[in-house]
Amino acid sequence: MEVFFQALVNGMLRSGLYALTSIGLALSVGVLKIVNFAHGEFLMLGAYLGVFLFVFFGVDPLLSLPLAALALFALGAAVYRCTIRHVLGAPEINQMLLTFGISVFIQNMALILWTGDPRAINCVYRSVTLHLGGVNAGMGRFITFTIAFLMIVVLYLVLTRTRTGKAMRAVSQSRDGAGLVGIRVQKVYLYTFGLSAALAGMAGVMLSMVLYAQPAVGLEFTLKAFCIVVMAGLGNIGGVIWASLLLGVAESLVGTYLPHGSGWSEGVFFILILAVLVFRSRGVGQWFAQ
Amino acid sequence: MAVRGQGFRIERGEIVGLIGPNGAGKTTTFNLISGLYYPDAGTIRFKGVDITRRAPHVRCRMGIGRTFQIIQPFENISVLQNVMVGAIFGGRRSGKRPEDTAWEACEMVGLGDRCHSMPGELTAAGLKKMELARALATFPELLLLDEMMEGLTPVESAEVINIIKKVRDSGTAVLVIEHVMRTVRDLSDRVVVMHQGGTLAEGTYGEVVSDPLVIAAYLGEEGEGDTVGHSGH
Amino acid sequence: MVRPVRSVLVFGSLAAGFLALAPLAVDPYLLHILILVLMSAVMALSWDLLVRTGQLSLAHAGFFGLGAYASALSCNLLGASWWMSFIAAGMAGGAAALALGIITLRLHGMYFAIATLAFAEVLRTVTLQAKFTGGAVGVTLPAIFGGNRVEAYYLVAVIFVLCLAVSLGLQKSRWGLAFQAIRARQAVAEVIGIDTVKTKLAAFVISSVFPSLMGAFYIHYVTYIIPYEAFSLNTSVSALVMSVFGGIYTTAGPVIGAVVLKILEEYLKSAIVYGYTVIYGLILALVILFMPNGLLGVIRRAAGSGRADQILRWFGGRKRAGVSD
Repeated sequence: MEVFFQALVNGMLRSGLYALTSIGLALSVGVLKIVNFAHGEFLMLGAYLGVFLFVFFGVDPLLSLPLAALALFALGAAVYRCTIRHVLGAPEINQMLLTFGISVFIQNMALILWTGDPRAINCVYRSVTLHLGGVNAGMGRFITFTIAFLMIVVLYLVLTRTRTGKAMRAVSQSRDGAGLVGIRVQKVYLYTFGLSAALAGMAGVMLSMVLYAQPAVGLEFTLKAFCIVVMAGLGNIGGVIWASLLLGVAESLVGTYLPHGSGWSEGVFFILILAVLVFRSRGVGQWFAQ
Repeated sequence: MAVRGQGFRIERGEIVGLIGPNGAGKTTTFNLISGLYYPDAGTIRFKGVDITRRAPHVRCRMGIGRTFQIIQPFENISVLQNVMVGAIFGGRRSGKRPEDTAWEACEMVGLGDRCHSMPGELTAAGLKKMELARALATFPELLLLDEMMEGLTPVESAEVINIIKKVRDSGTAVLVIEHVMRTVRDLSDRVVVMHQGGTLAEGTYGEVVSDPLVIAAYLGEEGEGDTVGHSGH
Repeated sequence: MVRPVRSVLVFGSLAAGFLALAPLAVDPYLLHILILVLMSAVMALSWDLLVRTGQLSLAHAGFFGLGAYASALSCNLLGASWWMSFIAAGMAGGAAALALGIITLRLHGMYFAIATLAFAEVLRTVTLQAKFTGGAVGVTLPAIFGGNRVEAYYLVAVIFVLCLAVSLGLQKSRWGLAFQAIRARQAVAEVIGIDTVKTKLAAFVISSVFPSLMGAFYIHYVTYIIPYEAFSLNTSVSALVMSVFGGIYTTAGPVIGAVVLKILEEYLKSAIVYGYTVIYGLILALVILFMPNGLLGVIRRAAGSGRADQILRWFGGRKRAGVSD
């Protein structure tokens, strides 16, 4: 039973990073209606930023968070301004190919600049473990989880209480309608994409605090974030939290109970995607019925 | 969600005008009949067969054709080829050669001399006719026309009305959505009024426009030549 | 239309002659490069077959790896001969595409793209984890035709010609028209009687059989493969970038793209060992932004109505306005 609870807690703690990453993706897909394959690469860049700030300047990763958010916001906004904006009217396939190209570019650039070796932040949060009635939790993971959910609350407030946030929600409902009532859609897109990247960047810093930074982590997180967004339903930001918990806990349980489980847990997200898609396409039977 | 109630019947050889204020569910009805949307509840029957869960292409091959409110040409093939796509895939059961079907459909809508033009070279009226021909090439027994006259001059409208009547006389049931009441009057054998997703009234043009319920739905703005669909703001 | 036909015949027979006689004229290293180029052409062209229906597949690497493993395991575990193992690879790829397609192709194209990317990544996880695949160690096979490179070349050339024929055949047939209609206006395609799901599914299956065959060929040619190489995302990346760079939705484009980029890649690999794929990412983004019709689009515009243009147009399969007379 203790093993089970430990697995449950590990899964929940893991889901914090997933939620923070996915909520950024849900935001950009929901508002811009563009699938951003480079979302995980923003996270990967945030992770490296955290590592370098710590290694070269001794900056505590928690202090790096706002810096990474700013840097990634700027990068996201620049990527939007220079590339995405020019394909808004293009066929969807061109949009997907573009963000995929950006993803491939950033990932391999990181590989060239920083090699494929994993790098981590070896700070105090990594070494301290919290004990809570027979269940252990790394302090770093605990902090990550807490901050992730705090950020989601902040995001919720931004979306519901601020002018920009309300404009984002309006645009996600109806781009043309929002334009008609005087919302500057282009500006909203820019902010949304920047914010989305900033959220990924913060998740990245925390990733390097509890795990490591490595050029290929971006792809892994992109896929898992897609899985969560697909589970939650497009544009459903609240659903992201539940979907993240589900993925985190499912991975943790598979990792705990299956032989060589830590390897298999990397496939859990795919099973979940397929399950959701089967459900969405209203069963396979219909196709054969014709 | 947007459309409720059991709706209405339509028979061979008649033109039924579907009218109602904006948001009444007219286009949604078309999407339900042509199969682009599936209803959450209720059934759709065609020639006595339940087609509620059939895919759009199956319905097309059974004899349901439609056009769209916003014109949707295939831009990089010629007018004739546009129409031929309909003949090849939707008109299979006729047993005719697709080329012949496409030619006949183009002739029928008066595009015989523009067959080899590209869609970009046609006027708005020409494109509307091309889309009509593309639908005709699938040999529809029920034809759904969504705002064919939108953006046409009165002369062009009159021409298209004649084409649609020819289609009806060949034994096709035609359901049209139109906003301009004059067009509805000139075109329809029968009129169905939709309001808030349900059918409000049904009858000849004269009966319907004098129905107090209908007048209430349109906030009394009904009248000759008014674009009724845009009332109610 | 007489002249383009004759030009195509001339051009086609020159190309066929080159393909048939190349092994006699070039040294073994160049022959190796030629084999890699033909493989790339098959990968790029087969990826293009599906994208013609407006669907973005990121699973080409998955099918390549699946084919490699299906072929290697059917040889090693079941004692199949090389050609039987190729058939097994093609069938495995086709069946996987059918299953994945039934689940995803009814939905919006975005879900398909995501699911295909996930599919390729998960196949690697499974291959690494499973017992019968040899795990991270990979699989080994004796070289095909006893290591005779010329015979290997002819085998891949035959598959290339097959892929070329399928591509041209699809373009000239009703299927090509259906692909184009679905890509341009899916709702219209549906209501004029095109079975969009079945058409996309057929395209996906055909498009997936070829990378599976290439995987089977690759393992037989290099004799050894590990999961990280078999299911490398770079395989999908290069296939789609070659197609987009050369000219998407055409037959000539992906082939041209494969020739240019594979040769560039061989050069870059020696210059930048890790991360040479960065060029592919860069090219992809730039082409989408600045020349979405690829090299072929640029050539077409430059050539105007010249003769070269007619040949390309023919190979590209774009129908001209009012063709019939």
